[in-house]
Amino acid sequence: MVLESTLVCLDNSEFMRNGDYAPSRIAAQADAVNLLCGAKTQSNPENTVGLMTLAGKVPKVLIAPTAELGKVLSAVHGIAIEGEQVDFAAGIQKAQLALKHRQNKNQRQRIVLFAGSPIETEQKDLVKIAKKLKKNNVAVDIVSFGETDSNNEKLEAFHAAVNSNDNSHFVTVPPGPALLDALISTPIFQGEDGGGGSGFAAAAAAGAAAAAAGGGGAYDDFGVDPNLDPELALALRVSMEEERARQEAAAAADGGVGGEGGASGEGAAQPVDEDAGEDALLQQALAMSMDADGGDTTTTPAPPVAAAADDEDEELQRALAMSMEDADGDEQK
Amino acid sequence: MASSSASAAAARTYIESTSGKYPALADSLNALLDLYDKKLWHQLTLETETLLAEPAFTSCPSDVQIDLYQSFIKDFAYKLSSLKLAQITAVLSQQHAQTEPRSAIAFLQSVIALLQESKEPPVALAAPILYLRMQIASLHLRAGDERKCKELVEAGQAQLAAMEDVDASVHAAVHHVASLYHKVKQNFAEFYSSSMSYLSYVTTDALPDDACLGLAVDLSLAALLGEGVYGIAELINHPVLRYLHNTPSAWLVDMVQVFQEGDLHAYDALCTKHAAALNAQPLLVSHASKLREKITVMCLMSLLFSLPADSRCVSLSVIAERTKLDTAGVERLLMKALSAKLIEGEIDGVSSAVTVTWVQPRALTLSQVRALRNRLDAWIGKLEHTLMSIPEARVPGGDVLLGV
Repeated sequence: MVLESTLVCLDNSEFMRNGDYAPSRIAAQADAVNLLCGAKTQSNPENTVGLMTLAGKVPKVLIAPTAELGKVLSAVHGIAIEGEQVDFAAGIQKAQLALKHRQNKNQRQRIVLFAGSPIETEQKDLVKIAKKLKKNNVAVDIVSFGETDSNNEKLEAFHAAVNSNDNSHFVTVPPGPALLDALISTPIFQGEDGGGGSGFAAAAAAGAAAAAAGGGGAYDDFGVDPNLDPELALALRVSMEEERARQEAAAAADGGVGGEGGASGEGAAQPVDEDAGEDALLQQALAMSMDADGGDTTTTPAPPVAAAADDEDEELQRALAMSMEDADGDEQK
Repeated sequence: MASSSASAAAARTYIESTSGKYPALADSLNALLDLYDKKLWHQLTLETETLLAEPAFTSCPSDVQIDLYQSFIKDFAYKLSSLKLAQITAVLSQQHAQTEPRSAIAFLQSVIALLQESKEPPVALAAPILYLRMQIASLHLRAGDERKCKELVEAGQAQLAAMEDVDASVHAAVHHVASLYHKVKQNFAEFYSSSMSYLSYVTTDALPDDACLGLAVDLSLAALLGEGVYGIAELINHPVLRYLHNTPSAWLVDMVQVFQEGDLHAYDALCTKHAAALNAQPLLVSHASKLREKITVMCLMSLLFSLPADSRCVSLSVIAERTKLDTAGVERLLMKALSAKLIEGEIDGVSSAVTVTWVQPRALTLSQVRALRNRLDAWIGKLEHTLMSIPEARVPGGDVLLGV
């Protein structure tokens, strides 16, 4: 549970058009950044994440470090490819400046650098910057992809100079479909203390591992960590089971008796299909009729939908009976 | 995936057959194919651009160039930057345009249609489409359809003015086509302004030498002939004029210089010195009287510009002497300058003098800037003199006060 402020530096030069990381380098990066920002903000509620682009006319800070994930994600979405090359030296220094002015000075500083285009800066200049960063206690995680052959020498020197107490990480990702998958198990996602502290990152890693093994991890299904939001996870699981039941029923009906079976299949599938909506209506009807009964004008809120998922037939009967009685009573009056 | 592998195979067969036909291109084409297989689209763009500049490729028949697009580039057109795609196709259409402008227009229009179908936001597509439209406009001009060219150019200029943060190549394309159009129409002033705008968006090093030379000659002539073009120092300071040195047209540089300085005597001297060259330019011959008029105005302006701040009232006879005109002619000249908003002031007919309060600002050459510096130096000297005299004046007053 490291309290830290992270600035993600995205490479958005023309090289990001290349399709060697599916679907393109820029889209693969955007996916990785989305998940990385989620991991960072969830590992500690006070963590902040910022975003900047390195290419273009000048390196640009799109979002100063913030705890609002939505802002960062929408900024990632709007990034356009521009600029022939990246000025890494200027970009990294700008990132350091953005981190320096973070609001909560207790946060540790971290830069996550995506480098996917050739680095023009001289190695000794990079090392000089790295030493400055180290002096100011800024950790730098480096993701080298794309132009790895030409860049790695410089980046390794940079990493060696910036690393203190093993707080900075350097990852090289070879071309392929899975930039994100390659990153998710690295210390960049796992956090400094090896993943033990970061629940999200651990869950994410577990999810990825489960997905790789062929099973469906909880995270993999919904993109939500059940440990952090059990209610949401439960609701998602219930709705998925319903959907599965509906599909099974439909499949059984289709496989059963051809054309005629289709109609009955529809009939069978319908109750399951409309469970949620019908249930809500039922509850509302029930509440209303009860109100009318007691002459009470305050509306009672509908009970949680998920709680009434079972034995709804019984409730349906009861509700119908009650409302009929109610209606009779009204007529008699 | 099946379709993509099919298109990859088609690209491979195209490259193989073409490099079989043109062995000189084989290396470049195989490099392209290698990058295509690795899906390195940006590197592929750069490699294609170098191929397009290669003499071995430009000397190929135009079919080969169109075919490179149809059989190869079109397959990954959406992966490229749309502006780069527009530039590449414009270059590919060049050779076609020499012989058949009409089919080149059709080709570029198909590229526009392709761009319009892409999923990119319309804002990102505006610049490349404008670029292609300008290429089409220049092709129309080449085909002799001036009206269509004019429509496109005017629409393009309006569109460009409304756009923000546009690539320099698009600016250059719009101004270039506008200058080509005005050249055909012999609108000297418009040609001058659009060409100067064009030159501010391209570096002369990037242009072929003969194009620079042609442009320098045209610009010099337009600067001399253009009505209302009095700020020609921009041209004098521009590196494009360097291309005229040591060429038969070198006299134009002197001519332009003389115009900027408004030196009538030097003008007459030049006219006699380069009489043959001048007579060889039918435009200059037919506009001889206009040229005379223009240099007289320039002469007046430079005279007025050089006036010191405390004597801006000039007698007409002084002007007459400088401009080689009689007094009536000077009065007419002054009225013309006043009406054209080149100067502001009053003519005093009784004392036959003119008081000038303002001269149209214009770009200066280095020598003129130097003159300006001298004037500032003189002003500073005067100021210091004044400052020195102030304590002297106060000391006696102080004495009086002390005496009381």
